[in-house]
Amino acid sequence: MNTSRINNIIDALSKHEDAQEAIRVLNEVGTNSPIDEIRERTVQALIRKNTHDALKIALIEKGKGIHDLSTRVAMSAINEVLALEDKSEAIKILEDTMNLHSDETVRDTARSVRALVEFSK
Amino acid sequence: MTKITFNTNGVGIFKSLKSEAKNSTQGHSSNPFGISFKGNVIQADVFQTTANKENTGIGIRERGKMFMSAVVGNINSFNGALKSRLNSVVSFGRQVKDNVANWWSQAKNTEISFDLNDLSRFVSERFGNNEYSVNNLMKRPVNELEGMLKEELAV
Repeated sequence: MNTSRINNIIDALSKHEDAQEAIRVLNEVGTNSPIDEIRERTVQALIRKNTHDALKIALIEKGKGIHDLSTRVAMSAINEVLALEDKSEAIKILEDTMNLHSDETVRDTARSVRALVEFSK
Repeated sequence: MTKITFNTNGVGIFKSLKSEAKNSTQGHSSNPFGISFKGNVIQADVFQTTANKENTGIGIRERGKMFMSAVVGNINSFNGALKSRLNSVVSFGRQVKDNVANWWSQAKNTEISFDLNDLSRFVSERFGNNEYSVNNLMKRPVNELEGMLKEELAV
């Protein structure tokens, strides 16, 4: 496995013109990878895109992004959210998740991250 | 005007002190301990016992043997020390020689090669002129990137 090549492909997908297709590939291949490093890199790329579709995967879906079972991946995703210049879309998604998601753990995680975003302002 | 005169009695005192000092130095020069027993200087063999004087013939022989054995022992130990030092110097010299010889043989057998292909690959990977650079990858369709990503993850 050539990590630098994989990182380059993920970066290229995150900057690709065909954003919708690129996000689909990142979601299907990257976030479902059994390797922590690949999931971490993918979720960072998705959050950096800072679009509704990309953020939805990283902030709402259970077991992915901030809800990843790997602490390293989850913390990395939270860091990336906090590092965003424009956090408005992320805050909106987090608030919706806090209020509307069916899973309680997902709601709690979203609430915690929302609080962190508030403190980091 | 008042005249300052020296008392002759005082001068006499100085003179007497001078003469005493002279005598004492003379005594020291003849007897280094500065002790004289009514004018007789003690000789060195005054404290030698009579028994020793009687056994001088045997003593000298014994002492001679002891002296000779000590001399021989010293010569032997000196030879041993010299030999061991020489040996250590010789072994050090041999080691240096061996090291130099080994280095030379290694240097002779070392092949210096300059692979331009490796260098160009390194430069292209380093400065992003290869097909896996982000800029080049972004120009490709997403389906192709998906295939490449799956392929890399499968390896």
